[in-house]
Amino acid sequence: MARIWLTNGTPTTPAILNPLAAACDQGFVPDEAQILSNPGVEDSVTAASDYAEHIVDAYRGDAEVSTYNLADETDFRGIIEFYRSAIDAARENDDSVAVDVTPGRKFMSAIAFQAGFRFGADHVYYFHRKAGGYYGQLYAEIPRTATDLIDFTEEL
Amino acid sequence: MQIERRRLMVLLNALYDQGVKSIPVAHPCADIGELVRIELEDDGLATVRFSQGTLTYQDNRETIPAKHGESAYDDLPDAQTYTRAMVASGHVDLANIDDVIAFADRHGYADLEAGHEPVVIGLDANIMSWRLPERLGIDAEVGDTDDRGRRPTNGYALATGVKEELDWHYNHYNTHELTSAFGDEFERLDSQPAGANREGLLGLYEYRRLRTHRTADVIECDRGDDAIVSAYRRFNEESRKTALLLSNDRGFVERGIAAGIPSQHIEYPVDIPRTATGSWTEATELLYYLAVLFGVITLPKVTLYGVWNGKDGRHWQHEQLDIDCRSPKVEPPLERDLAILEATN
Repeated sequence: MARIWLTNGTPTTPAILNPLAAACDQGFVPDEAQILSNPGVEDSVTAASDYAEHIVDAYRGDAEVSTYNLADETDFRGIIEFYRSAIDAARENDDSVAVDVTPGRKFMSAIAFQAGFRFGADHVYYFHRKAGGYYGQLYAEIPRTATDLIDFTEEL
Repeated sequence: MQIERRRLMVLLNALYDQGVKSIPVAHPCADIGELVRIELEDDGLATVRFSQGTLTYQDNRETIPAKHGESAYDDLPDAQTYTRAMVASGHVDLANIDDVIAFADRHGYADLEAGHEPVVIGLDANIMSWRLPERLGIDAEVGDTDDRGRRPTNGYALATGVKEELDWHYNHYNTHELTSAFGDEFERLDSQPAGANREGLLGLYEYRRLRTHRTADVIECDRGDDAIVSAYRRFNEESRKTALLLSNDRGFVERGIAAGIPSQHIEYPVDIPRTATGSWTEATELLYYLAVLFGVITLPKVTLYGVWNGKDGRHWQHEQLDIDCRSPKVEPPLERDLAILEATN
């Protein structure tokens, strides 16, 4: 049973990576990570793809990282399709799938959240920075008590 | 394993994950013992309990010569330096903080667009080690901005005479004496800078950091207050910039004012409070200063070396400490997180 991580591009790389690192820290070390990208965030997604492999590797995992490119960031159906197809595939393969709703614009998070619940993701994660002052820094260098990885499937 | 000052959060996180939320920080010698205790709290806050205030520390240090000899005594920072570290880490305010801020408000925030001269900071040797402009929010790069987005200052003017004064060459070192006085940890300090020279090296490398990473004019001059103040006077007359002088020495400040240079005395408190609450980041700063000043400090599960055999100029430049993990459970997460940060550098 593989673990699948689904997330979304955004201009700051740590925003893509920190939920992943926090999830690894709590034992969800993915075998596969898929990042939804669009033309506005291509550069940070490319950087995040490389770093994501390093992070998973550091947690003794081995992840394949891929990106799913939208032609336009407001391609709402494309966003929904990204989550639907990935979650459906995971369920067919009996994989465990986590949707990260942290990065991206609000509508992307809203869609990811809805898709995560509706299509039956195992986890719907949000990386909550509880204390200010650590913007742009990576999970490893933020005080442990200044962040929280919330799994909405357990909260709601 | 070596770790940079800016990465020390990784150590606090590793300890926290091991259930260590209360961190006694001690000198290996039982006659000195616990210096501070860091309580890791929610929301990235940390309360530091000063197990030894300045006066207690001074009393404890004074017992050392009779028990362990002068070398051991000289290897320990003096009480003033101890206080300066607590101020530098952000836990204790300067005694005259209001005066210093008023001074910066009065002379800083140059309106360059209106043709005002840029304002730069000149630091005396006695405060060079402590990164005070950043601590006070008056640094040219990371200082607080006013409502028009201006920084209080626009760079630094660094006097070569000050740099020479930081070369303290205080190397009368006897590892055997220190080891029997303070513990086996000090075997690793063989042929490393001793005592106050470590504070001098902090200052030297801070001087270099400012020269490299800030807008900085270097003012050539000899050592000594007269030569340094005269050089700053000429700089202010000729450079179309205004240097502000900060010093812990009243005589230096008086000379500066007499020469027409805006100059401000930096005054440290006589003692420190019992506790202070800051951030985990400030706690890491405190760990860095204590490790360097004392040479070695012990924490639960790890021993931190501010100096160790083989520490060279590059280690000083990168502000590295050496961590000896006494617990096998702490080393893997430290290595893991440092590897992640290294990869994403």
